[in-house]
Amino acid sequence: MLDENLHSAFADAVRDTPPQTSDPYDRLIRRARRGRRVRLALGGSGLVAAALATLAIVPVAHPAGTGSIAYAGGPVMSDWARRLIASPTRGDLSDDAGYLAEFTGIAARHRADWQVAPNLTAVKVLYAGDDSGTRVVLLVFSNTDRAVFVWFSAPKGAPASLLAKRPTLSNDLEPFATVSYSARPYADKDTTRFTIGLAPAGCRIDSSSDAAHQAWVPVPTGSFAALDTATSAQWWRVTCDGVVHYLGPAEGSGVYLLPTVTDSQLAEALTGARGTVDRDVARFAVSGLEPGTGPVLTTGTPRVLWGGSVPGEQSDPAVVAAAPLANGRGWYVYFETYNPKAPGGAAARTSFKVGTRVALDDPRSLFGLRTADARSNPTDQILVLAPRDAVSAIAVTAGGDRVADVRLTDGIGWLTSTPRTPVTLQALGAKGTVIASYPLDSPSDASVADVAPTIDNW
Amino acid sequence: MTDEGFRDFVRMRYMDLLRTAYLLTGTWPNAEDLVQIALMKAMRNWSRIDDPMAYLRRALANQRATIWSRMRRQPLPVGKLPDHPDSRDLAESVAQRDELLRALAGLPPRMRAVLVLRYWEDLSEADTAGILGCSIGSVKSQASRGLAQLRSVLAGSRTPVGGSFDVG
Repeated sequence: MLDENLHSAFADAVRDTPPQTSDPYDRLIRRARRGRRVRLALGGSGLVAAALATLAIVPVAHPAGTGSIAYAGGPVMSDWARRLIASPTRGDLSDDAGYLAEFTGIAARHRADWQVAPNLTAVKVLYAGDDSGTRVVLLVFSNTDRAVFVWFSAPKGAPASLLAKRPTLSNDLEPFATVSYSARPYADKDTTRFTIGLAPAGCRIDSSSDAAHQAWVPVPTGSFAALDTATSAQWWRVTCDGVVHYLGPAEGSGVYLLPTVTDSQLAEALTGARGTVDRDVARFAVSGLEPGTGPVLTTGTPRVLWGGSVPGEQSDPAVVAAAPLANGRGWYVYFETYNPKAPGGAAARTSFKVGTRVALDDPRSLFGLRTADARSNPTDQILVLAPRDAVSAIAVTAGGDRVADVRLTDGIGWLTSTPRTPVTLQALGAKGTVIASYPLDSPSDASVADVAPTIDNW
Repeated sequence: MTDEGFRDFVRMRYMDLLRTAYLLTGTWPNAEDLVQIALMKAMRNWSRIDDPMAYLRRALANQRATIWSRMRRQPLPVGKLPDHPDSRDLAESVAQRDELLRALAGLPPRMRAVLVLRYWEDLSEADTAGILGCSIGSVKSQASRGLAQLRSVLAGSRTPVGGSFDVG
């Protein structure tokens, strides 16, 4: 009868189920959407893989045409997403019925090449416009349950056939669809930058450029907005039926190509770097910190803090570079390592970006960087960047227990088995005194480069 | 199954899943977290899922193991007694619940999952084995050892209404 008693005990234990104050499905959808935003916000809080493109969106360079399906469509997660799909086409090309029909026809013919699921039978242009010298079209393949979101760009005035050659597809359609682009798509042309925000018809977008986001001005185009910058201090507020559904940075998921770093820029960035720096990796890392290479806005000249190799990673060169955050809250740190002998040359092995409140330009500061593996999972390895006169570093628990230590060379060392529990790093001078400390994995660090919106509720 | 079906499924079975998750995790916030993680996984694969409850039970049990280390650092809930004329019974009930949860927290995740699936979800040994991806023999032995470890807790719990009580 013991088992019967256990069932009874279980029933007693779950008797006080907390009251559900809202629809569980709606809560689930909100959480799923937050997850999407986090994935798409390259360089947000925590460890985020860095790449040339934000991760959930894949530019299609070589149509496959194999009959396979890469884009089955993500769930249409709310009635607002349905309203967006049902909205009339926006943008200054929205009245060009001939162009839209031609483009929609081309898209329908190429859907197999783009590996879009055949059951997404509806094809519709949501936005078409010439913005900042670029023609941009946002299109959706959908049915009642799922949707694939596709955006295209080409030089202003491009014919539909040319525009359709540059699709970028995503299974995630947000009710407030946003796209940012910063690149030189046509090798001999200047960098193209734009950001598009598209809300369901009937909604209103206001923008704000002041630091506190208090002064809101309606955008003249109403339910959509187009900016000529891929990253901006500007915020958007989207109001639908009298309710604010989005309040956050005016930016979108998108593609950011890295600018070229000249030799003189690299030399400036390398000033004061410690360790043995691989110049190719450093150049790559510095380029990835330039303003406009992601949604997190940096300012000033990036600097290389350290170069060397990760313990246990053989001789693969690694670099840590950093740049001040434009929001003034700290620094943006970029860890990059690759195997230069791998096929394809500079194939990135492990890279990520994190924010920190530590003033990395202060020679007395202490910073500990927990590395991540190739899948962005944190590891037990901590790179210690301490004042140059520090001779050792230790990790101390809240109870005062020393759980790891390392001798430093030029203020640099690796803690290789640091527990993933709250510890404080301490840098010790020659006499054993603490000359700097740093709370490792500090939650306050995680938020300094946060680009998450304040409200994102649909 | 359609996505509309998924919406209906969530609304209909959410509380059932939440209770099971609570027994697997020991706190309501963690249970909510676990259920939502499992449901999001289900949402992505909904069109390919034939038996949603089996899928969700499997997801709860397996996800439970992966986030175990994070959850076990969190304190178990401490019963807060409301003003109530029958406060002595309530106090006893809360204490027993906490003791059960504390005892469950001391079990290995897989053993705890076996107990929850067998004695809360009332699944057969074969179904439990299928969900956990192990043999029926393993389910039997895990259940036996788990019950043995909970013996002292269960000995102090109230007899089921209309039933008898036997720790032998």
